[in-house]
Amino acid sequence: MSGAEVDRRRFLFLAGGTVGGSALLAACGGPSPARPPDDTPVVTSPDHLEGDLAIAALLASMENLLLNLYQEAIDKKDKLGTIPPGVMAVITTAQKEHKDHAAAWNGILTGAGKPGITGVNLTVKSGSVDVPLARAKDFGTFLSLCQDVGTLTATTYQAAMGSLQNLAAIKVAASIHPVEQQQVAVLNFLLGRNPPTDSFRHVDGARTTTDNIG
Amino acid sequence: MVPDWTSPLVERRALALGVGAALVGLVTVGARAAADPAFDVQLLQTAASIENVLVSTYETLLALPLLSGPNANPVLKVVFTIARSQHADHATACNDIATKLGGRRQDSPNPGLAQVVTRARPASSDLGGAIDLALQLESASAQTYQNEASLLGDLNARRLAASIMGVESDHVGLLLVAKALVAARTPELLVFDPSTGSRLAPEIATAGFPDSFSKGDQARPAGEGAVR
Repeated sequence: MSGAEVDRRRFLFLAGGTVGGSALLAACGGPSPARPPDDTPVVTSPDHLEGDLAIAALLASMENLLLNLYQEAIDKKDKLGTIPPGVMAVITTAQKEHKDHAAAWNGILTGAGKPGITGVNLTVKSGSVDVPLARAKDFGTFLSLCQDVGTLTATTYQAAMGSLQNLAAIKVAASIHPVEQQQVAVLNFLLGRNPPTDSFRHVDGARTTTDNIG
Repeated sequence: MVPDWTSPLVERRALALGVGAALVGLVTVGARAAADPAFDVQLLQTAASIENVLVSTYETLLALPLLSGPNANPVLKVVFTIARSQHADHATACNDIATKLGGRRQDSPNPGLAQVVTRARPASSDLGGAIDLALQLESASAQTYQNEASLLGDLNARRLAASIMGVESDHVGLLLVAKALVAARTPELLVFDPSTGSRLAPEIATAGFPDSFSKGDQARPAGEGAVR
């Protein structure tokens, strides 16, 4: 059993422990996110999740988006030209890992009595993925898009670690975040880019629980 | 430059994620670590001690003919040079928060990892040995931060750990690919070139992220680098 699985089970144990799931949910649920300005559409989290569970849903939606993005390359290989075996291996391996990550967060959600997240982060998809994906005509451009979405996901994990309250959830996030970042590093290398020189990763651009998921 | 971990931007982002400050301090089942400044200081000192080993090790490796001579691998030279500077900044940041929490700076090396370096030194004069040593230290550092993310009670310290964890993981990913290339006797592919993607074998291209979850089994003990 992986460490993440142990942590997920611990989260579920706590969710159903003697204090009761409702108490945990109450503890997980913080105040609603700050409302955006009136001229911005208000988008609520799925099933009105709050606190740690809303963050779990957000992270699952990001993982599903990456999973679907990689599936595009598998389904439409011809559109991207000939994909070399090494690049295809990166695509399929990364996709499998994102599937595992999504399963970890969905296990937490369903264990707390909430539905799992099968949809993707629509806010990111419509704002940052759809147009560049439609324009991608070669695997290099596609990998660059994967690198962008992977970086956004890693950034969101980083922000989540500063916001999650439940210990087991923090451990799950902390076991996934390094993998997301390692994937980004490899994509950078495949694209021939120098490694970042900034000594710290920042949370600017991290996605929030106000994102639309579906 | 070391960020200000108490900046309003960071605070706003945390609030935007939907977990309000009102929850901080609530005693809940499974809640994150309660604030214990003395323990946090130990964790930060241990992190700084690991960073100190990384800085001195990269300085030693960069001085070797392997990385300073005319035939030095350009990628490793760039990566090690950037990493050395980043680890120095990490040590400074950990020490800054440790002192703000009432602790002392840790400017000495982590004793456990210092022994690892001593044992590895004879082999680190060749490319494979140098990469192995760097990878071992970077993995220990990344996984120590991974472990500390759930142990640190001070929110700014936890945010710092999360921020640095990403940088260390970058290093780990790249070094895993470098290790695979050297093991396959194709170090000439260790170059920053957009055509690299089309030339790597599947097992090398995927070497940088071998597992879905980081296990954390290479994390150093929480108090190993504490100032005595």
